[in-house]
Amino acid sequence: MPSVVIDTSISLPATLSPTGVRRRFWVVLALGALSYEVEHGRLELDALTAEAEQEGGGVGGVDNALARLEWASDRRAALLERLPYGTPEDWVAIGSRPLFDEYERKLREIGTKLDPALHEADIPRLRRQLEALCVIPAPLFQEADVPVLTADPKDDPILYTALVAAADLLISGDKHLVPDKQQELWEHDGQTVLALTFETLLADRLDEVDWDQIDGSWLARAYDEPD
Amino acid sequence: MATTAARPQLLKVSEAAALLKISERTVRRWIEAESIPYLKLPSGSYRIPQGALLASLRGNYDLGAELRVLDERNAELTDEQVLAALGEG
Repeated sequence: MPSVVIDTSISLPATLSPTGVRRRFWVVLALGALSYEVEHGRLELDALTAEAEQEGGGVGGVDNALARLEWASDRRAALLERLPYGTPEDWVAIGSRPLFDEYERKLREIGTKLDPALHEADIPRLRRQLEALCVIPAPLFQEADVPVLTADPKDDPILYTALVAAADLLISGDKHLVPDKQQELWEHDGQTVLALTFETLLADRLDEVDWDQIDGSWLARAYDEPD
Repeated sequence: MATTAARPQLLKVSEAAALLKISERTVRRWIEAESIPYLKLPSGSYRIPQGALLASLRGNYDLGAELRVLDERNAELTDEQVLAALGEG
């Protein structure tokens, strides 16, 4: 199960451009999110119940969560039917508050240049598209915990997210994270993560995927209620 | 890799609200509506598993409909245009 942290050079085109290859990669990650939920969702609910027994508390909201697992299973099957042979089912994205906040900051910076009709209410809608895809939570950390790792302080929380979450890959087009525009191995405190560009990812890790056979509009279908 | 299966990463209501940049009132409303799984401690405070919170966005919002509206407006927008706006084109 390759786990990835994705920076804004991937997440912004993926959410804003419905036809680009980054959106098609988003469809693959949506499949991975559904697969992860189907596989791990019940375990997480069981662990929550065990935690309640240990703490002497109670749990709630479980019935709706179980119904959502059924829904995820249905959507996963529907998406698998459409995706071409060779599409990986288990790529999952990692999320953290700094990652979501950086996405929103950059969206505010460039959003209206690209979509003059972009309204304030669209910002949380787009942010949710990222949040819903990042089903693996990174361990919580405070801004003060983030060490200096790169030449750009804005990139450090993204790289730190990948390190503390033990991500397999950090996908980025940022010159501070991938200086040679191919790949860079980062190490901190005994933890390593390979940062690579989207182009390198496609060429080296996902070269068997037939991207022309994936439609970006399928992302919305991954969220629809079952028929 | 970090996993939620062994022991869920539990968030306070304030941390859940901060993660999603929504109000604590919204999180408490979801708890009251049982639309997110939660643990109620003997003290009366709540803890929410982070993975399930993110997964529950797919029920608490109509993400598909929201995306279709945005996609319709941005139908002609390309990756290259977005990357150019980011200064990474």
